[in-house]
Amino acid sequence: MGSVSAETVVEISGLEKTFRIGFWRKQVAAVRHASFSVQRGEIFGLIGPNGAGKTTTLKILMGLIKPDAGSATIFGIDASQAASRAKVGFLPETPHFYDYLRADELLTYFAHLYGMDSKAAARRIPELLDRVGLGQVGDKQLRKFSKGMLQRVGLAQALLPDAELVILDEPQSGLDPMGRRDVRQIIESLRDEGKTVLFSSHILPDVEQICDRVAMMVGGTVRKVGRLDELVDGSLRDVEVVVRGGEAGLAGLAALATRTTREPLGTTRYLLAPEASLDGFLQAVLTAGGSVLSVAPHRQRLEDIFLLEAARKEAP
Amino acid sequence: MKTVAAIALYSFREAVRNKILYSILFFAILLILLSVVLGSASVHQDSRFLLDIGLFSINLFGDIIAIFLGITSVFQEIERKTLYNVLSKPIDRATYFLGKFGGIAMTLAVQLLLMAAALSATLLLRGGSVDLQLLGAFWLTYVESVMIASFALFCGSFSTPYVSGFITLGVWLIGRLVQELAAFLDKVEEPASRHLLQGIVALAPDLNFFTITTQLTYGYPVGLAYFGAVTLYGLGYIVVAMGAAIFIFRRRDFI
Repeated sequence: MGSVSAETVVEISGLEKTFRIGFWRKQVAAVRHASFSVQRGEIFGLIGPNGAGKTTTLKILMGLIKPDAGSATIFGIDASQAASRAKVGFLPETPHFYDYLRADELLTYFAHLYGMDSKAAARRIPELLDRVGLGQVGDKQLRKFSKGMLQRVGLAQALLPDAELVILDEPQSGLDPMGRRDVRQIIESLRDEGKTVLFSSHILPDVEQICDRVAMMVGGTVRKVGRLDELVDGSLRDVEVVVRGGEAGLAGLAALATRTTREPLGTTRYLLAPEASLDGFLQAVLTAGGSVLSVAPHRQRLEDIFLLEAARKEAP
Repeated sequence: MKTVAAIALYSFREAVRNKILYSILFFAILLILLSVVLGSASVHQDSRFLLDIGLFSINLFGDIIAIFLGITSVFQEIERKTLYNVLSKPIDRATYFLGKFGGIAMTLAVQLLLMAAALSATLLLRGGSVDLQLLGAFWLTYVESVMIASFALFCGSFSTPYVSGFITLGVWLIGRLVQELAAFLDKVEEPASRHLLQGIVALAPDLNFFTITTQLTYGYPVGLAYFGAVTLYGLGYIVVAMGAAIFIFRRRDFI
């Protein structure tokens, strides 16, 4: 984990946003009294199911949506002010670009929007294209790019201003495993450079791997915020034992497990409660004439907390 | 200012890629060329006829292009979500909107130059002349089309292209008929309708000011003061329309 100083980069406090949708202007609360903060130098994950309010929160931070109540600041400046975005790079969810432009032309345009002069842009752009793995195709029109390549262009434009804060909305969306790994590495390298990264994601193993802290949003509210080791205690959830043979004693073995799954190749998968006696179960397998193929303890993961919170209707 | 220029330049690049604009331009130039054929049928009047039809074409098609660009340029960016990447940069929404307006003004200038060049060339080939008065007529047509584009942009800041197009077309029609509407005022007796009509006549731009075809075809000189006054008149409407558009655009959510 990177070192975390006390300087607050992003501060969200009591944020509220309700959309009025359709002909009858039906009210849909997208964000409800959300509060969290991101400190300088940390990688902060915003996780939650679809419709949790993650994208709305990030769009409020980028000044694309006005909040109904509460405040959102970046480096202490209200997020509705253009100045708050001077040192911020942003990758929207499934980014869309001018497809008639070449990748380097698009980045040149955005460099001008960041106030960079042409010389500085000409130095920075090839370097960035290389960093996101598009060094060889910078002179190709974006309409010829695959979804994964466009996501990389999106990452390149987010890194364009040498930002102190990088906000990424679902950066791994639509990427193959190699692309996901590359994004993960880019985020980790940003941390090594002392940048602050705030990103939303559904891919919880990646969040677990790279985030210092997370905020879990469900139904527009922030349910949990904290360091991963505070949220996930790592306690034993269950033990999985895979057995071959031992059909004669199956009924007896099943009685000792919380779940039994017969598999096509003649193996049986048993889940034992944490408090169950593993020695006693293994002894019973041998007695029944079976052989133990594997024993795997399952510890609590972020996904367990996530599913638990998502299943709960309202915050306590 | 550099940012406005960058947005304007890329908006221009996007606009000139639109095939619909070329179709409109093609019809405008076709109509100018057709007026040669039609004009040759009139005795000793072919230059006047050519000037009349030519300026009418440039005016009409210039305004059509202005409406088209005004209602689609920002809307397309919202629909295609390219706007998110632009507005998330450290730029004010007013800067973005002024850049889009600048891009439209540049596109209209190029389109008008092409149409004006076609008419001027045709006039010269038919033995006519191109003088400062004609260039002034082109300029006023340009100011009118930029003003129409600003109305379309204003409507586009809060509604869909169809609604914006409909409203802008309404403004354009009223602007063309404002003198007739003013003359009709005396005949309206019902107070509410009269007040409504009075309001429309007072607020609507009189587009007839931007057309000096009659003066040109009959050789009446138009002074520099007139060109200046009408330019300022158009500029006033542009400032109000853009100010209102930016006011609304700044309050929009981009979901």
